[in-house]
Amino acid sequence: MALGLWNFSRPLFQRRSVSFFSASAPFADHYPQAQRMVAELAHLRALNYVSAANENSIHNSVKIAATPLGIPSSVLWCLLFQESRLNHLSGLQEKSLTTGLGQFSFSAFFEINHQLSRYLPTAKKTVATILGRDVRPISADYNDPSAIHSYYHIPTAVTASALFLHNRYIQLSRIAQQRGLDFSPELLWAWAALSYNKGGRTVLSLWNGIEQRFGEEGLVAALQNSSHFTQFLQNGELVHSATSYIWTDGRSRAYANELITHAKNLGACSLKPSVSEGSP
Amino acid sequence: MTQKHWQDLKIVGFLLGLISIPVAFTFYFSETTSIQTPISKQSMEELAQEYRNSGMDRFRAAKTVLKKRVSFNMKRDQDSKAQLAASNIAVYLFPDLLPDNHFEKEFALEQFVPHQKVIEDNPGTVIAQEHFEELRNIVWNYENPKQSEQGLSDYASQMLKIYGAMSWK
Repeated sequence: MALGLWNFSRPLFQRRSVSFFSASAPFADHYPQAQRMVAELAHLRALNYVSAANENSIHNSVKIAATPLGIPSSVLWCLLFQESRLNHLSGLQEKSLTTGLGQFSFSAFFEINHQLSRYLPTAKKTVATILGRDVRPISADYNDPSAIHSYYHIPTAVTASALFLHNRYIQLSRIAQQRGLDFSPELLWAWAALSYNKGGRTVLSLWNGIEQRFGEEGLVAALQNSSHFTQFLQNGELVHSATSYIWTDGRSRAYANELITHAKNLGACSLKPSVSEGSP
Repeated sequence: MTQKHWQDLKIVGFLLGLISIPVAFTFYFSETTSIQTPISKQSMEELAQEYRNSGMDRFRAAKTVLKKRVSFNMKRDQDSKAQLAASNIAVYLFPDLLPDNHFEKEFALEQFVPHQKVIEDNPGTVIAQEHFEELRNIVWNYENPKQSEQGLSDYASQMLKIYGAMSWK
């Protein structure tokens, strides 16, 4: 379909200079960071919930997929850990609506298979670089889970999830740029990870809420400073206010609580301890 | 033209003037009253019914009236419920009404409106169905990518119902 939607091929960061976090990168090199997650991973290994071979395959695939897309490895790995506890066959037996390592749904498959070039002009080439060839259309192939086009095949699942996360990042960065906001390109991956799990609308509603209460300065702080990011995401009243713009009553509270938990776990898993504790 | 004809014309003109004033008055106030009616999520259901019962032309007219109502209700600070409903309807049907600093404005303008326009211009065609499929997936990824039991918001669901019905006519 030849609609002129979102010219994502425009160069990024063209409006204003953007402060990079190279000197104080918020994400850890080793993950998971939090001790409770290290213990949980050990427990999963002990139960043989995740085998050493599959765990290594996930680690390697994360490195291979994250690098060309510019994703901090810790964010991608922690996102997958959050989504499925590294069970790449999650949902296979039940034929669940959301399935696999990154808990993909039909709309996520649709985007990767049909809309990817809107976010990544070199979609075919990038997929081929990561996986050896463009394996799309990717699907939750219950009959042949280990096929290369199957989302139950670990390198394919990691790559598709990385691409979906990258698309969320592109959406948010375009919107921030259109508003001329200074943001940390690195920290924006944390916002993109929230968008991956809870949708772009929830994130944008939260941005609207932060700006209304704390002004543009407050929002820029949330986009630049990982301590502020953590603090805002733990502010239950603020987050609930944002979700109640979209959903009514019980639904908005449930969604807000899930978002808070997701942000907390993602931060504890991937952010360096000094910033995940929320000290400004 | 005789003197008599001129007199007749003047009388007819006078009578028409007398009638048109209350008619215009009634029309003006009925439209103003309609626009000022508080808005809710039911307003989208009413729009959907307009399409189902009366077809595309009436749908377009009803959508124009709804846009005026949304615009009015978005500024209605004393009625936060109506204001919230109006903002949500604006996101899914009239994003140009959203203030420029609203973060959803550009997204909605660029991701929803082009597909909606194609569907409205080609109802009941394969083209409309293809665009609806794109629209539906964009909305799910935007609101609830995990497709949890949460589902979609009432406003997103209503918008998809309208354009789904239009795509398959």
